[in-house]
Amino acid sequence: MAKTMLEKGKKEGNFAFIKGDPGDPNATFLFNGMMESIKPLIDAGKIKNVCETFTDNWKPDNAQKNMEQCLTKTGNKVDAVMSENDGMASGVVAALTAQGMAGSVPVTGQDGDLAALNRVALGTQLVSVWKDSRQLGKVAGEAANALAEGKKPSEVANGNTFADGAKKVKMDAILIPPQPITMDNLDLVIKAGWISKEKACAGANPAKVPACK
Amino acid sequence: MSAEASTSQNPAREVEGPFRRLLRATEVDTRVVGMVIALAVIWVGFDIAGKLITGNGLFLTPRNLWNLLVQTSSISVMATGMVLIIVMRHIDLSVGSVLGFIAVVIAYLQVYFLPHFFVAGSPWIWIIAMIAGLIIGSIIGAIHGALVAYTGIPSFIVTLSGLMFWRGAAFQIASGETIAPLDPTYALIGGGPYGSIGAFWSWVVGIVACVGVVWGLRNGRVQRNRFHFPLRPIWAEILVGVVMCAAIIGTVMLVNSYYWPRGVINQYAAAHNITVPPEGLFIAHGFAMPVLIALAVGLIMTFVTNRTLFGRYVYAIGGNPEAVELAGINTKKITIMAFTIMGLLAAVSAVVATARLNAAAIALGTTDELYVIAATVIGGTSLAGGTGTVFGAIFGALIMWSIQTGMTLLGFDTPVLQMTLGVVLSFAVWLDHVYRRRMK
Amino acid sequence: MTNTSNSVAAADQKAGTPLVEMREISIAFGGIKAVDHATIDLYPGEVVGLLGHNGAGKTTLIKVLSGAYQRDAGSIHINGEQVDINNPRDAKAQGIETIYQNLALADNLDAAANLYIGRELKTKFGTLDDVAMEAATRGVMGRLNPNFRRFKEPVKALSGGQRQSVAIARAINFNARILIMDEPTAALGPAETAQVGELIKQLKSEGIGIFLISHDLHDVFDLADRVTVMKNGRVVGTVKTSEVTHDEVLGMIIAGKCPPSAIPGPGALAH
Repeated sequence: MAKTMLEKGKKEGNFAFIKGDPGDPNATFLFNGMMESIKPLIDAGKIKNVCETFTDNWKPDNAQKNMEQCLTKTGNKVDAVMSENDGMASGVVAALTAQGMAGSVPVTGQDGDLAALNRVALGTQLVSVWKDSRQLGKVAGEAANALAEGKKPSEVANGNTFADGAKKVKMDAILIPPQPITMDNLDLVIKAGWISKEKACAGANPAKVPACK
Repeated sequence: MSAEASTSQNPAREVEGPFRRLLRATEVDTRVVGMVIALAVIWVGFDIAGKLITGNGLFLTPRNLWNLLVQTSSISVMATGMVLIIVMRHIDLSVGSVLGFIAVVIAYLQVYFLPHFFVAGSPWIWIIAMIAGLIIGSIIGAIHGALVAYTGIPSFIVTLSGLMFWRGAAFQIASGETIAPLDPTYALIGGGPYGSIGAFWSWVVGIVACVGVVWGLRNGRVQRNRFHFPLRPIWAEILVGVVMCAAIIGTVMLVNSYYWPRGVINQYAAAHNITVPPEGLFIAHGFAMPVLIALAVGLIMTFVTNRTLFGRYVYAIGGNPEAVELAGINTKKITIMAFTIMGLLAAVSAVVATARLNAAAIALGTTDELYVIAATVIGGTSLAGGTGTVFGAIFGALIMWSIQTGMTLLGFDTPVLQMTLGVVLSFAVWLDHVYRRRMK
Repeated sequence: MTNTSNSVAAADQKAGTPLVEMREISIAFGGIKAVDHATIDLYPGEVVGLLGHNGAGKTTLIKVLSGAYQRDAGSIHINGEQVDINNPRDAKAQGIETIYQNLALADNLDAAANLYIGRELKTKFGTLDDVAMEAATRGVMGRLNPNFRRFKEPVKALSGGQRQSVAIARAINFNARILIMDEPTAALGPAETAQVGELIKQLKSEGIGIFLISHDLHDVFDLADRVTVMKNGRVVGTVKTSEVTHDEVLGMIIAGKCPPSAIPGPGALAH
């Protein structure tokens, strides 16, 4: 998410961070993950963290309110918004729309939410990180079968060890890389049957979005 | 049977100061004065704190206050209904889930169902979806009310079930996804630059309201004269009118001094072939639709509580349900009506919330019930039943949201905010308790 | 049975149709007979005291008349005609008003709202006409309690006597013919009790019939023309207060033993 922002969105300027629910550890994991790529640029003085708020229950309407407060606080001087999921991104985009800024300020998200993929096509959201849950299910099923057949965890196809948890405990894992979806590779989700072309491209300009041609 | 009533007032009159005399002459409720002062302190306090901490007092800017009014409207709409419920010694924990469910229903009808029957973009799509949402909300409320009235299950349990049921139902209908985007005209109900009525119509609203205030005061005088009741002194009458009109005009001036942001102006200019002059183009927002809706709901609910039989019975039931039963009033019907109104208002909030977000997310309205109840209680509604005002509930919502906005602007994150709101809630109720005891 | 002559005498004295007659009223709650074949009557301008222990069934019987409870059996006659009373509205339509022991006031509302509860005055637009209700309240309270000024305050702020006068005002404001008073002086001081006594005498002189439920024998002897005693849901007997002593009435209450001057009921101790 952060990488896409830096590659295709903004590399410098005022960044706003819309984090998830304070009671959900994922909110902080995701934030730390983003910071891995962004922190060096903050330290270099290129990126400024102008707003950083948790969002009760990951609620889009709360994200909208927090974004409105953020825009008020900075006098609209926000260059990019890092939202931790697509639902909150919808609130962020609604807040930006009210200030006529939607489309010119890149917004991130994740989940591959159908409405978010449409926003990606429309250009109001830069990226939605998509984890193909069907692939996840398939791989998990295959792994379970393999284990049931008596194979050792280390023998399962694509098996790996994972030790990046909070306590650095080593465990066997299959890592499925999440796929960032932007305007340029929107066809991925359409071809995968995750979303129909009409839904994804509703209202989008086919000239700008290759997948919508 | 008692002579103490008439004698006890005389010594009090001799020692009262000018402020108390003013309150007596104008017959203004001291709690209203208290809430207005509390809100003023919070607003000025945050502005000063902003200047000290960030070097910029953002709170008392037209932009922030305009946002504040819009952000408060959804909770205030529901709080006015919660007043009825709590006054009747009930509680409604389901409003947030009902809001979420209706939001999904409206969006589902708009995006997936009604387009089969109408040309794309037909206004009937959003009108029918919205009306259906309002009706379904009322029906849900009526079901809750009937369960409370006829089965003897406490309202806490009925609406706790509702809280779970309707959130689940929302997920089922939406199959877990956010439904968007909605009709552009419908989205105007949610406010924003285009969803505001502009300077001219805001003045019209303000002037109509002012005329209403003057007419109301005059009518009250005429009515009391009919039976030769003692009247307020004429200076007090004029003072009340002037203060209320000044507040209304002030609000109009406030919303009219928040201009469209540059980004929107540029889009607007491009769409209408206007060249933006170098000094900029100034188009005022005026009242946003959600604020107008909240104001209208507030007025209607005030009328319902003060001037209708239904409202009178709601309060009487809160005071003594048995007495109302013995007076031959159908208390079950009143209970059902109150919950129906609550359901309808949750649906109104759902319309505002979906239009504002231009999407229906399943999580919409989660934990709203707690904020609605908190706003109602901060506004002076007693959980023991029998007392509470619509005006107070709206003020409670404003106070809560002012604190939330103010702290976010100061850069405090959500956890600190939640802690603060927790303290404020208990503090407000404690203050109210002390006040009531002193009045006895 | 030596009471035949007395019963004839009683009938002679109260010639004409009774204002209220409750015949053979029975009502049970979950198998327990709260009232069992009770018969009582009341003539215009008469005060009948209802006596008995707690749980003797007097309040239950009277709630049947006021419409709060529905009888299982028996009939109610007003001026000789059988009437159907199934809820408080029916009772009020018959001119039956009740002042309950706990006063049944909505404490959070003012005097006028309580006076008119269930019978609110409305403007031509269908909204509450609070000013008209307050005016009428000032009128009726002026008769009962001329010192009363606190029309704008919720009744919970009023003294016991003031609250009592609000409850009484509610009962007499709507041209009641029959008044039921359940322990009207229980919460009052001596001066206020005397005032209620005066009021009862005044209402009596206007031809209103009053059922008076009380624990206080002195009160009952002062105010009532006759007393009906109940025990375990049944009527022990009815007797004129001028023809019995306190002790004889106590005997009826405690032992169910009728003095010779009483007309025994089904609950009387068998001889």
